[in-house]
Amino acid sequence: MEPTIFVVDDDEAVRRALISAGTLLARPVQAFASAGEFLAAYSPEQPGCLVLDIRMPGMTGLELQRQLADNGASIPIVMISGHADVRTAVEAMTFGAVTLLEKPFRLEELLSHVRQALDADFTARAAQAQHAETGARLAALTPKEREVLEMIAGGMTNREMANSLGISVRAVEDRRARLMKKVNARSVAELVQLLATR
Amino acid sequence: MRRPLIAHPLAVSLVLVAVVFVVDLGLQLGVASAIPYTFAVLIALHARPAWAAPAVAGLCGVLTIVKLEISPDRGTTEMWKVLANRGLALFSIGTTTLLGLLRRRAETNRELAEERAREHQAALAHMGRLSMLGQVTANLAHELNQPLAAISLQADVAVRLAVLGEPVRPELSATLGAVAEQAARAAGILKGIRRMAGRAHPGQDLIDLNDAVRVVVRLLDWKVRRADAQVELRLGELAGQTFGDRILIEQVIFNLFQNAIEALTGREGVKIVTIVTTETAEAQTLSVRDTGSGLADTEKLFEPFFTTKADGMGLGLAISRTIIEAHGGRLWATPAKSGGAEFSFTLPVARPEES
Repeated sequence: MEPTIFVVDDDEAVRRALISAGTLLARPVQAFASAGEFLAAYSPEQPGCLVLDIRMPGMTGLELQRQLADNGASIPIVMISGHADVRTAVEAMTFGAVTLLEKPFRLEELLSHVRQALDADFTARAAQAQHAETGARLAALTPKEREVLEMIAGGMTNREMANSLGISVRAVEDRRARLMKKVNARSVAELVQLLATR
Repeated sequence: MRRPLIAHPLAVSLVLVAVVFVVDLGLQLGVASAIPYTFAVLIALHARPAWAAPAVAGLCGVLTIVKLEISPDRGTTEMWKVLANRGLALFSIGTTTLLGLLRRRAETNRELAEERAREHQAALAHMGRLSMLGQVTANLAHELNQPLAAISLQADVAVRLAVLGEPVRPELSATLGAVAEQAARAAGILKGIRRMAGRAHPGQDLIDLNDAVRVVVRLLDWKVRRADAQVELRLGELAGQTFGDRILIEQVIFNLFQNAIEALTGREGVKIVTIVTTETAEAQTLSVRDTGSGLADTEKLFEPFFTTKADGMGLGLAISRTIIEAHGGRLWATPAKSGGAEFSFTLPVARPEES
């Protein structure tokens, strides 16, 4: 799925200006006139960022932001507002908005914040993907391999492991090699790091 | 002060005293002189200085006694009768003065109170106009800000596109750049106006919505009776705390309630206005529902200067929405299930860690 710039603003002229601006970044832009329409069309797996007006009839931008957080959608949000008071700004930031722009703003400001938001989303999704992959790899280990893994992580030598498990050093080395291959780690350091990111 | 009945009460009064005294000297009137003397006192009560009436009364008293000294000729009347008559005269002058002064003081007090009430009313009306002007300005500034944001952004985009185009037209990008600059300048002016309009910062009172409803219902009771309507209050228990400007919030409830009553005025059939308050963890909600003819468009209503009333300015709802949004809440309209209209607003409940 291609990263998309989502725009939610009830004012048609502003919405169209945001679409023109977003198009400059050579990314698909999808615009919605209300929070409800956006919620109906958006799925959390969709990468991208959201340019969101705070003041709208019906569900406000801040309410949409909370709703998204409740749904577990972590899409970065660039809030825009006609009258940015401190309280609103604090609230928006607390719930994870990238920034709050006060209308009217210049193109450069908007584009740099949208770029940041897209980057943040990309980084977050990459980390999430790696996390998921690590989990899958570790889950593929047999109980015996897992036992060895924990011992390695605990800093035991092959001999100590062999003694502890009542098998030969050779068998430990075998298991260890299979384990390293399965989790795709080249060194003990990498293996430990893998465990740490879980 | 009312217009005085006589142009120069003190002078007239003194002339009267003099005339009465001369006549009293010439005639053997006995007690009868007291009656014109009391007239003189009554006239003197209309004089501006407060001392006029007691002074004239004193003068009349002195002259009543002096007459006995100057003209002791009492004809056939016995001395005790003359003394009794003069005593009665003094008594009636004194009583008239006392009662007159008391009455004068009561009147002055009443006039002062009336004046104070008028001043208070004028001040309220003035404040109402000022606050309305502020709200209208804030509303207008916000409405203008939207197209301005669009202009500014589109102009910036156009500058970019002009540079990307082949061949590059430097005049075009310079012209578009000027548009963007001027939009930014206009935005700066608007920002200044908004800041000024918002300077009268709304108060931070603890607001009891149910209480505010009761205040407004009491204020508009006469209108409800005139419309022959009924009011139903379903006020929920509100445990959370909401903060804001109590007067402004009451103003919003007043507007919504008044609209609801006016929607029922002159209609046949069921005429009920229902006010409901509810609460969630995040917000308190107040709804005003009527059984009127309902709404055609639930968004256009909130535009400034939109009205369906012959004598309306079309500002009530626009201002109400500005007020509620300034408090972090929302104000919206929906068609009511009963067939009429329903207006609701929310006020955010303060979270404990914030307060």
